[in-house]
Amino acid sequence: MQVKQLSPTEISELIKQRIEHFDLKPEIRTEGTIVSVKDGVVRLYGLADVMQGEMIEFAEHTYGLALNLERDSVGAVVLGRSDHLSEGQTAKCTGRILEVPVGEALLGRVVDALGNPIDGKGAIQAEKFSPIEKVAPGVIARQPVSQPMQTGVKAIDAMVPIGRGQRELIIGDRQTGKTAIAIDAIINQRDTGVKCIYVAIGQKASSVAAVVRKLEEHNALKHTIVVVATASDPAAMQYIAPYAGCAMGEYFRDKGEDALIIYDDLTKQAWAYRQISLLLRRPPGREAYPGDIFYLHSRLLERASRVNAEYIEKLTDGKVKGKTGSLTALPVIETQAGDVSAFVPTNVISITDGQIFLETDLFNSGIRPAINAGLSVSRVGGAAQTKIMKKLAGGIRIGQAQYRELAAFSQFMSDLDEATRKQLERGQRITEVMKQKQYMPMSVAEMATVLFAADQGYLDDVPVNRIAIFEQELISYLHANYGEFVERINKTGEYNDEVAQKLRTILESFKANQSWD
Amino acid sequence: MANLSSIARPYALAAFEYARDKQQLPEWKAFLESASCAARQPTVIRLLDNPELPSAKAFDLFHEVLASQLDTERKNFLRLLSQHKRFNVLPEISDAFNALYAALEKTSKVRVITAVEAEETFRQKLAHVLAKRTQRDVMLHCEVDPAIIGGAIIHIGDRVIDGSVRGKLNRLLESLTD
Repeated sequence: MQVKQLSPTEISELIKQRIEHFDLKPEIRTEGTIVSVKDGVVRLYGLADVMQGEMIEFAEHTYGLALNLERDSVGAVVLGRSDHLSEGQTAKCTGRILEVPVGEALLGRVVDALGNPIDGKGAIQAEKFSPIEKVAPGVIARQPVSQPMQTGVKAIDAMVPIGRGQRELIIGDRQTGKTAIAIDAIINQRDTGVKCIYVAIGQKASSVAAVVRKLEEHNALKHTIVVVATASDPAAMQYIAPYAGCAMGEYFRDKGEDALIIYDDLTKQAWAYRQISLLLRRPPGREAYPGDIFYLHSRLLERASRVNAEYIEKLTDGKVKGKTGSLTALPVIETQAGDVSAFVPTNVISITDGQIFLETDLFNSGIRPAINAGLSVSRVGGAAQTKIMKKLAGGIRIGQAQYRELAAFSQFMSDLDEATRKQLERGQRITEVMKQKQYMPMSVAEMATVLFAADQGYLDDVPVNRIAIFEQELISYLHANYGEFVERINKTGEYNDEVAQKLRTILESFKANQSWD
Repeated sequence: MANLSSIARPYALAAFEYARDKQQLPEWKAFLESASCAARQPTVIRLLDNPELPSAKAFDLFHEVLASQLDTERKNFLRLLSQHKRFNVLPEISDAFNALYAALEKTSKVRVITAVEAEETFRQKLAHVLAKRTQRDVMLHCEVDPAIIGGAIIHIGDRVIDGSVRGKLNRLLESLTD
């Protein structure tokens, strides 16, 4: 941001105004004394009327969050550094819940968990603040998920479609392409008007910088807010980062827009919360997590929702009418050696509306995105799919799951009957079609054309190792010759005999006139 | 100190309720205060910390020091402390006892910090106003701190009423640099 030139009169005018409005009444506050400071956790004596989750002010404008209210003491975590705090110092109640700046001003910026800019682009002129912990919209305020959230990843939009307002978990071991899917989904929202929030929790600062650079390269940063709590930030910051990001996303949802938030990843947030809880001496449970670890994630993910027009109208005082809002969440969970039955993965699987399960073996055998078709599901996305995708991608997931099983078995069989051989061939081709390069999200029309080709057998005479090139050529042919049709499908997503006929014409003329060798 | 006051609370409550029922509150208060005074002495602390000290010996020590204030029940109280090796929490017991006593008597201690020595009329007026506000008898404890420049800071328990010039200047600074 540019630094505005302020004339001296403006400054003194401002100061005069502030002095005039300065409240001279004595300040009434509640004070406590620090009893101990260790590992970012402070114990306080006094502060008898502090509230759970209230901000506490320490020396030098450091703030803390009151988490444990005990009979004789208060346990709080320090938000930021704590090396200047010491035993005997006083601490004040603020009477406020932690708030972060929200609004359009944050788009294109990289901020920390408290909403402070860390990208060196100057101060953020946010017009509004929002508490990080909010109660999720109730039953009355909600509306079923019925609009698609196109990720631009063929395998996802075909097999595990995601709707606006859905919570879809991305789960898998390290290095299986979890973040890649999330980034592709953000890039694909370039022209959709969907605002994106990428919350990086406990990641290396270098990885975050790489993500930001990639978003910038693909012109996707201007509709994105990046909230960062890196591995070197205090555990308290890693713990609150998802809530801060969620508050920023809710701002868009509550004014009748659509937003997409990615929590990358919640495993690290759970670790940070476990650390805080153990330092606060809360009793450890399974895997040493505290008792409320489920609530930690459920209250966060419950805030991702689609809300109806009346709710929006009420919240905006009638300024926005007839528009629904949504916040779609893509939480990421990292498993250890593919163990989805560990504590946190099972919790988050049960909270979300489905999961995208990524596997190391698939990834290593070159199937990228490495989505396991059998274990991945989307519980509500089907209702939100566009007609054309629903029609063309309908049986792919089940077909792929069956193919993988059959392929494993067929290794032991010497001679295969005709039907099995055909199924295997087809499965191989579909697997090939589902592969996609990173940072190349596809539009609905592109996907539909490719899926139509696979569905109607246009790929049967294409060698498996040429399918990727066939697809690439087909798409450029499509754009070069049928721009109008592409636009129409992208806009309406309709499917009827006429569309099918058109697709047939396109494919036939492509196969007749183009080469893919 | 969280742990110690948790330990002290049942002792203080038992002593308080007993004293209240027997109408011996002032005597018990004085007894606990002198006992805690003794327990606060560095040499005594060191002695009590010694794991080799037989509990009977500690009891004898306190018995001797507090002989003039002891009756059978207070002696039993000391014996109980010695049995449980809790002489070190005496200061907390005394504090908790005093808090209960103050709640019963509806008195509260108020710390007043002023820049210059407060005049008697001011003190009386302040005590009167605070008594009305807190609905309690107020025991003023005045301190002088020139660093606050002017005005006064009043501490009532956790609550602080900051009417000092220093506090106002700090807040002005905050509102200007915000």
